[in-house]
Amino acid sequence: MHDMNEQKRLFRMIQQVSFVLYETALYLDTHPHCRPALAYFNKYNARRRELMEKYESKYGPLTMYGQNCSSDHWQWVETPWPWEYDCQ
Amino acid sequence: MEHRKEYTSHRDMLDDAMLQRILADMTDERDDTRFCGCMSHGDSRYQSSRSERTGNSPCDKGCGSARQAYENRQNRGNCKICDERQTCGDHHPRGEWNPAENDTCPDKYDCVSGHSASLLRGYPLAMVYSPNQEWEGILEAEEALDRGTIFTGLLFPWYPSRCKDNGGCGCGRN
Repeated sequence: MHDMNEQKRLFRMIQQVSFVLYETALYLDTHPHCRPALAYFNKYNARRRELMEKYESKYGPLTMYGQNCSSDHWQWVETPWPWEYDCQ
Repeated sequence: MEHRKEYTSHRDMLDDAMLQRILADMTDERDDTRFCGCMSHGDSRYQSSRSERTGNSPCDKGCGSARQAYENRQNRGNCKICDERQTCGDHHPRGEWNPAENDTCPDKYDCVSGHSASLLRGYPLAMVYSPNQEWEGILEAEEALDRGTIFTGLLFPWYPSRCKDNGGCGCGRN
C-alpha cells in the first residue's frame, strides 16, 4: 500500500513537471531569447529526468522508450494498459 | 452561480511604453502628425492644418474614410477626435479625460459620441492584434497543473450563468 502511494506520488509529480515543461516550451516558441523562461525550462527538465529515472527504476517504463530494467523480457507489455490503469 | 470575471488579464491593459512603440511604428514623426486612420492609400500619413480639422470630415485622399485626427501625446486635454477643447458640435465634453488624475493612456476614455477610444485606432480593420505575453506571474508546478496553466495572466475560470429557465430546461444551472 505504501509502495502504491509512493508510485502514485511520483507519477503525479512527473505529470506536474511535464505540464510545466509543455507550457514553458510553448512560451519559448514565441520568445526564444527569454532567459528566465530558458532557465525555468532547464531546471524543470532536469527535475523531470530525475523523477523519470526514479520512477522507472522501481516501477517500470512509462513510455516505450523508457527504462526496461530486465534483460530477459519486455516490461512494457507487463505494465497496465491505459484502460487498466488506476488514475486515482 | 453567476458569471463573473475574477481575474484581470494583462491582455486587457496596454501600458504607456507599449503605446509609444505602437505610435512610433505608425508614424515617422510624433509631433503634430495627422493621418487618416483608414490606411487605404499608399501614404498613411496625412498632414492637415488646424483650420482644416472639422471632426469627422472625409479623408482628403479620396478614400472615403472619415479622418481620425490623431493627437500627439503632448497635446492632451483635447477631444481625441476633433481636437476641440470646448464642447464641440459632436458632443465631446470637455475634461472627460483628466491627465492630472489618471495619467494612463487617454485612449481608454470614450467620448459620448461613441468615438472609439481604441488603442489600435489607425490600425487596419478586420485583423487581430494581440499584446505580447510576458514571463511573469508564474505558478508553482503543483498548482499549475490543477489550474491549467503556469501563467496567472491566463487564468480565466469559467462560471456558467444562471439558467433563464431556472433549470427547467434540464440543464441543471439553477
